[in-house]
Amino acid sequence: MSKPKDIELVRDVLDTQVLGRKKRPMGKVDGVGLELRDGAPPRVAYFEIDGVTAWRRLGERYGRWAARVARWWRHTEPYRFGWSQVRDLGIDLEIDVDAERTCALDLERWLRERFVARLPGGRR
Amino acid sequence: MKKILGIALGIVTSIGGFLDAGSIATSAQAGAAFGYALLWAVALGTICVIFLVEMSGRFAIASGHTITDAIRKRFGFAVLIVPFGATMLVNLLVLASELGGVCVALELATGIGFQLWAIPVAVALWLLLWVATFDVVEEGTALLGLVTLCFVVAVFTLGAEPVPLARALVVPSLPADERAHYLFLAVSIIGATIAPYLFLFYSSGAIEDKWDKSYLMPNRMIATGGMLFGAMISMAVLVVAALTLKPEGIRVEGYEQAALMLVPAFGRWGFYLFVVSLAVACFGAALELSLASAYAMAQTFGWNWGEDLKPRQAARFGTAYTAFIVLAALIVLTGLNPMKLTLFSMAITAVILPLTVVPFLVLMNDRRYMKEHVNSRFSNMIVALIVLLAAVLALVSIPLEIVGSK
Repeated sequence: MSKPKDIELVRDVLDTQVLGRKKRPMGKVDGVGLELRDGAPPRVAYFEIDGVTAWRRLGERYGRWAARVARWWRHTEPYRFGWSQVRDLGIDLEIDVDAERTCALDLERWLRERFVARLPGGRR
Repeated sequence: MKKILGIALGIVTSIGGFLDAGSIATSAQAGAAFGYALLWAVALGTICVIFLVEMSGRFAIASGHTITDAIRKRFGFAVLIVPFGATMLVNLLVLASELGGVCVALELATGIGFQLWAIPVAVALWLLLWVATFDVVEEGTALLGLVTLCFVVAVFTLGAEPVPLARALVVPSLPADERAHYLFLAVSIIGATIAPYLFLFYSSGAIEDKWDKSYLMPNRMIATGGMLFGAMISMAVLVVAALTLKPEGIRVEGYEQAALMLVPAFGRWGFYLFVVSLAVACFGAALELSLASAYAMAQTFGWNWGEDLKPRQAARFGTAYTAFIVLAALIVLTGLNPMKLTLFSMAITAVILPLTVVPFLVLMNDRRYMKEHVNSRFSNMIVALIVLLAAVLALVSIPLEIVGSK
């Protein structure tokens, strides 16, 4: 367990692979949310895993397209986590969360039920 | 002992990745049309790919990242998406070429048209990926790939003269006529030799096999030995074509002409040896390519990935290669001449190489990832030069080839 004292958000955190408990890949850090405060420097409010956010960084239009596609698997909101949930930040970013229970895996679950399970050998 | 076995295995597996529809098609055409003259292109591509494969193994060992994952983190999603998109598109064309190669081999063996084989072959490919583990895929293709050594045997049976052969290997020459086609073939050969999926696959394999620092030396040996071994076979294809097809004035427009090249060496069995080699090499490459593309996709988007996971544990990964195979089969079904498709896919590979290789080189020099294992200036220069040269030549020669073939 190691959290560095001093990090650069864009260099060290943005686009980093996120692992849940048992090193289960959950996605990548697609966005960082800041909270603006009067008379104090902005503070990191949350990190976000969400394909739509990532595509929006390429352009508003790509974001809209991605959002429309994501509706197929009923993915409507981004998955957000705070710094307190981060257990380790190095090559990957590990958080103390059971990946399966989050909406970060909406597409994974949708494909597993709708597609993989219906193919031979897909239930093993 | 275990490591020596691992090195031997690594070298053998590289052949599976090295010899594919691309190498067979480009080498057969080059030998039949220009004799030994294009051997230098195989040599140039091989030098470059040895460096690239060694680097991708060293990168995985030193940083713990796969290349795709690291490009995303270092340059951002918005930059990664460009080489990723281009690579996926080319991978799809190449996968269609490999599937087409298997289908043509089956057509040559049975007389049933290749398009009819597209679906059965695609299903067999998919089923193997769906149920097998990484080791089965890797080692199975490796063992079967040994059949392609028959091209090397043929070189000796036919008694190739070593001196002109060695000269063509080192000294590039430009023929008096058909220069545009010569250049196009040179580019296709380089593209076939430096296939990006090869080193992307290799770095994912190093992560799946959990290589640590003790693998730095084995990695170097596997990269060099394996790529040389593979190059030897694809050079043998070129030499055999030069010795048997060129004197007869046989132009290779499709695999059916190329299939005759082993007949002078082995008689009627030569035909079947070619057919089996083609089928095995293309099927092995199709397996690696489908996996490599699914790896690239999973690593780009941060999904669960790994061939050892059951499909339901990595649903997006499994869906990715399934979709990929379906699309490639559809391309084969259109009935495009598989050999033409292969040659163009290889030339386009050469065009997009800098998109993956340049960011990769930047990473190889970044101490935050590589620590003391960064690249030497020499290896940076070699790879950058060859890749940029190939891309420029490809941009020039592809339009010329399209105009020329009409």
